[in-house]
Amino acid sequence: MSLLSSQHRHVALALAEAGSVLRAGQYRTAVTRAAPAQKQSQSIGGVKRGRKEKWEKKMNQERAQRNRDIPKFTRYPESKLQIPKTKERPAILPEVFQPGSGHSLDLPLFGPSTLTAKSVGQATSFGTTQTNAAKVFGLPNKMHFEYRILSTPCSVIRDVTLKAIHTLDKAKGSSSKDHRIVLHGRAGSGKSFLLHQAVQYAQAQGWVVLYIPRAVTLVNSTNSYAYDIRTQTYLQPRASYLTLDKLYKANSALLSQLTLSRELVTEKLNIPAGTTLAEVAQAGIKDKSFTSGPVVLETVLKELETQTKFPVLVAVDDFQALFHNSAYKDPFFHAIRPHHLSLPRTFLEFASGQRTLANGVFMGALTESDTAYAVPLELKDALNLESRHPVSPYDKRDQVKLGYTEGLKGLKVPERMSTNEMAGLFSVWKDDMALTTDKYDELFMSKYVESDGNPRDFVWKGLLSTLSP
Amino acid sequence: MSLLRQCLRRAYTSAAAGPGAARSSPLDTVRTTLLNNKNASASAPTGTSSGDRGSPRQTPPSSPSFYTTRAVFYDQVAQLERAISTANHALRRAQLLPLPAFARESLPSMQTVWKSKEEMTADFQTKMTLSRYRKVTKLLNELNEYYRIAETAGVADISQKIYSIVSLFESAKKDAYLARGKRKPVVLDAYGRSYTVGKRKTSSARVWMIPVQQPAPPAEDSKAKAAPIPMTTILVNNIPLNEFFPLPADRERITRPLKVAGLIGKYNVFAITRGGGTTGQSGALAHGISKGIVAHEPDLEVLFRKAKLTRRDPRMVERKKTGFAKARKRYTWVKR
Repeated sequence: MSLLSSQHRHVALALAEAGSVLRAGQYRTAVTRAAPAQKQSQSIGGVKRGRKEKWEKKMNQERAQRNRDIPKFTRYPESKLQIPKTKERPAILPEVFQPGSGHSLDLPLFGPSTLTAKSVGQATSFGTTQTNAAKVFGLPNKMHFEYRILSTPCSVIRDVTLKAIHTLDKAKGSSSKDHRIVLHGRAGSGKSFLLHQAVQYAQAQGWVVLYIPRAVTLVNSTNSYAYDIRTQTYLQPRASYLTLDKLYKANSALLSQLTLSRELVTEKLNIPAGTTLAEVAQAGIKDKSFTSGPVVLETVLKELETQTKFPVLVAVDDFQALFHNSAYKDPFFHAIRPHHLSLPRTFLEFASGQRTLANGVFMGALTESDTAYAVPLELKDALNLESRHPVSPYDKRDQVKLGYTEGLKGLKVPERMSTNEMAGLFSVWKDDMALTTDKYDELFMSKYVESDGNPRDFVWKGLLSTLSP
Repeated sequence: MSLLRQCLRRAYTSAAAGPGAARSSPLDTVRTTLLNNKNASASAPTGTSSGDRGSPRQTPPSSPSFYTTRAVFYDQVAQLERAISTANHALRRAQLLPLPAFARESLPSMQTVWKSKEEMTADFQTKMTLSRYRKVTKLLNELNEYYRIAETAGVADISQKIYSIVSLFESAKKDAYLARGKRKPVVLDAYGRSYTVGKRKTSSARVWMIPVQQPAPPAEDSKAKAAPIPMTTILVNNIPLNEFFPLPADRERITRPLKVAGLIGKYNVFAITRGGGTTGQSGALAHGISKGIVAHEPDLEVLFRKAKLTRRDPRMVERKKTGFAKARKRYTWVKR
């Protein structure tokens, strides 16, 4: 085959991709017409018997192989491509699948009216206002991917949801020292979703909410860091700035009702006592160099600790990452410990009760799926978590980290979703037209068994990974 | 009087008596004689006098084959031939012989397994060579044919007596031999569990299946929630299915037998898998589950056979051959 014809074929491929099948076909036919006859190999000086035929056969095979890469439809006539195979199932998508069709799930709103014992197994959607915690703070990775596919952000009300809500209601008005909860359970059992539901509930009930959906970003050296002599910790200016910004955006209405008790004086700022926390936050946000971020955030958090007007929820997902040595390096190239970084230190102190919210709750959720930041032994001891392998008492436990696990209470998310709850989850995906089959009973039962009641496996490796007709 | 004359006379008398009469004598005596000959020693003839050499014998020898080398053997063979003859006459009288071709073809098979040559040595008190063995088995086969006819016809008196003779020569391993190649039926244990083994490539799976305990039906009180749907739980090496098999393809392969039978949620499965990799172990587990389902629901056997679920996948890794890079992959062809 000459080089020219191969160029022609490349052009044909490129045009086919662009969608102009007709022209590609023309090029293809042109190429076939211009294709030379079967290559005859010539032997110089004689070749062993049978070699010539072998060579020719091999060349023909290679030619067939090369041509196989080109899609068959480039060789079809236009008429064949236009007619769909059957009249019942035309080759055009139904209207609902067309972009801009406006299809979305019709679900009740997540709120006090839908958080009842009767509504266990019912899917509810979250609000889509600009100040919604999900919009402002963001979401954990896996939840984010799921909501990208679903038409409406939603979740299923479970028994544990009601338990967590009840815990929040009980803790309202009391110190966070007695209410430091860590959600734990099997990988994919719904800890992040549950934490998110708690955050949404708290926000709806008028709490001040500080939600960190991916705490691993605070320790995996994706944010800038600088040593601060005053606090003797490594500050994370950008991360602090962004956290402050989000805290303000999500709770601006409530923060504007709280005031500074002591004045704040720094190199760049001079904020008198009595200014609203909203204004203080705005002052910090105005400084785009991120330098004021850490200081202002600390001030705001200190005020939130002492005030009792509004309950505060500090929710941290990927909580176990705060117990790992970070990926940052100090000048001696040692890994910086998490309690030497400003933001992780803050959350660790809230978790351990060294800093308490006069009116509030600290809630953390573990992530079992991250192998780089696995659940450490200290947390496993504190929360009495089950271990697949026997744990030796001789394994080293960091005493400082153990100190930060003091007083943590675990809330176990059940390993299996009940069939009722799973049916609700199934109906979400069914109504969003994500299923390939209409045999719903069989699909539901088989996928439940295959995933052993694990919600993530049920959705991602069950419903969305199957090609069963 | 010779034994032969005795036989003929008895046959004559029984023939005179007509069909239906008690014909116990000939075949029964054959049986007892066979047993006696087996146990008796061939060397010592009865009734020899240890008297003077010169004096004639007082009593004749017990059997006509006394002066042959293999007395017991010939005796036994004679008895068998007598039995055949008697049975033939009995069946003729019962108008079961001669049997038309279509009837003979419709007879159910009653395959038997005769004793081996070594085992027959004890019966015949002589080394059974192949030719002697073939002679004996030929007679036995003919007798077995008569038994087959009598049994099918339902003439219990004839068939039982023939069987009493035939059973003397049947191997103890008859059942095992006849059941060779057939699948052993799976029995449920005291708790209703089935234990089956599945195999694929080099993996094997030992599978225990037990029906899911149905919850008690809800009381008439309407406040009680509807009973939850019973669900199958599959544990592989004590690990839940979704943790042991992360690939959706493997998981679907395992639940396929339950889906085909429509029995998802009916049985709990516990399995121990060994050997091979993920695909092999998932295939072995599916095979074991299919067999377990057939054990619990025998009606589904035909369906499963049609769906090739109970079939042990015979595909194994092909060996590497000389002159090839792998089983089929050839080395790069070099022109020069």
